[in-house]
Amino acid sequence: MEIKRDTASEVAAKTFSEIQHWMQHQLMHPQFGGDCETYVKSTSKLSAKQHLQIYQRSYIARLRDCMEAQFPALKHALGRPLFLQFTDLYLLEYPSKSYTLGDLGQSFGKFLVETRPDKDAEVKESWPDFMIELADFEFLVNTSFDEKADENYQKATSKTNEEELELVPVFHLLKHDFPISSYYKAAVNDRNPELPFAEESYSALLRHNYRLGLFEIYPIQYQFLMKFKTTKSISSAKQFLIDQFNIDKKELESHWQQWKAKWLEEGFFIKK
Amino acid sequence: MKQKVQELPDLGLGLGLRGEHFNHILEHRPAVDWFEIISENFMDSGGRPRYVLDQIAEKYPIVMHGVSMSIGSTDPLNFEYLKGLKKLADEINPKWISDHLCWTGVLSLNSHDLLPVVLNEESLQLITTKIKQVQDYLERPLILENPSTYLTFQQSTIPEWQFLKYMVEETNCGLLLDVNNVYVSSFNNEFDPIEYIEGLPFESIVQMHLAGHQHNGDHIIDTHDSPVVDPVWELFSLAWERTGGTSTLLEWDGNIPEFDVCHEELLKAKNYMDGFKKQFVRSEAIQKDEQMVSNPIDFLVSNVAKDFVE
Repeated sequence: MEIKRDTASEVAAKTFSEIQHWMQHQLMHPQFGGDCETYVKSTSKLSAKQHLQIYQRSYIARLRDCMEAQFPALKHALGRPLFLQFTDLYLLEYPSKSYTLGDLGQSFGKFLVETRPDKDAEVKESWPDFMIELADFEFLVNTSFDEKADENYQKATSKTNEEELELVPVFHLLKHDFPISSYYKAAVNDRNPELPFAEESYSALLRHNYRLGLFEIYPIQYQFLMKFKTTKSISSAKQFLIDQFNIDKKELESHWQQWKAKWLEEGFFIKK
Repeated sequence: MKQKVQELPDLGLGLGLRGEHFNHILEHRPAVDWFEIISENFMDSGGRPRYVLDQIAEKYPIVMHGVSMSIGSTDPLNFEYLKGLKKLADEINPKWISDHLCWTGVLSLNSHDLLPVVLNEESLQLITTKIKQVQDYLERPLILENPSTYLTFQQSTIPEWQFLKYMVEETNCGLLLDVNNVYVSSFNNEFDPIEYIEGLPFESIVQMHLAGHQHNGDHIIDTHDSPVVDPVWELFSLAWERTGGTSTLLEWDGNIPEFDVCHEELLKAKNYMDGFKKQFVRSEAIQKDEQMVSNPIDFLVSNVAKDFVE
């Protein structure tokens, strides 16, 4: 089949806009090929196609690098080859529209929901649920690291009046269907965790002195901290547990003193 | 626009500010003349990067260098981006704001690469219009860098150095001459780097960049991950002589070594400030690696996991 080539005048007439649309398409869809010679000059060392390929290789390699940096635990869970397959498809479906690479993985969890292999099956497998929870969690970790918050506060101590306690400005209470926090910590610390079974888990992700902390907590502590977060009152949070879970007041007080000591050390609280 | 490019100060020898060096800089206050930040790293930062920048900006002159303005895109300017840029500038008071003569995407997409612009009358007109819009909005001159490029468009009719010259004449913007990029682009696109530098409007060159690259035999990738090679130092020497000396900065973005190694590499510039004497020879080691990424900007993503408290 004879391939139609543009004439010299047709080549010259390509507009600025046409050229950019062509090149962007070539970067994002390199598999479709394209009439490189119409747009790109060859040199004595490289053909037009080879010149373009430098950009095509770099486009995907750069974004893969960023996704690997943003989702280290998910990469471990999926294994690098599968992680990169998902990444490549994700970048096709959700190409970046942001001026910052910090947003690159913003929709990765959503993408995994949309493309889970058992999407239409009545009985679903559990591993996609784990991957989706992990992706959402890792993106939250990234945003929490650089979240805008006033850290010019006074850290609470054991002497701080309980009603003067407040949570640090960057504080996320998390409930997962899988042991996400413990898996994440094991993965990023090269402890090579295996895929976990479903198991409800609770954790607190916080930032203190510009460093992130991730702490696993008990379900009852999660309930307590949730109430404290909304009411900003320790006594209200205690009363909530007493009322909702029929906990003995003295027993709760004993537990609270232990929780408080641990959480003060871990940087949960500031002074109002 | 009240400020003129020619009134911008000579800041001396500076380094690109990278997260790996935050602690060293805060603890040791090294004798570096100034730092250049990547604007996008700090525009939305409310965490440690911004906290550190505020401290460094109290002690050193800062220049903002961006990678996402996309001045060469046929898309309209992104005023949300410019608003963030201006807000950061208002807060940290940089000596100037720079970006690249490039585009990063169209149709509101961002490739996060510094893509080459077709160089002809149509693009010159559109880009100069956009530069004027940016300068009006930011109320200061925009400084634009020559990017490293890996292709030339068939439709380009103006040499890059001449395009930059016309751009300056039309808009009074400033130039950031990346000497390494001249070398990389000249090899990849087969033009004479000396003719390129000699053709620039020297009085509008506000700053120079130096960096290392990766030579793959039939092309060079601008990797910023190694020392500056001799031919680039020689081009720097020429540019230094022609400009009469200007603010100079070393970029090191991949395989980032200890701060002192970067600083030592930067200070080598002093050896090339006494005139362009040597014969320019394009000779250097070749390290074939097809996986190298051009225009490395993935260092923009913080490695959050490495600094976690358990």
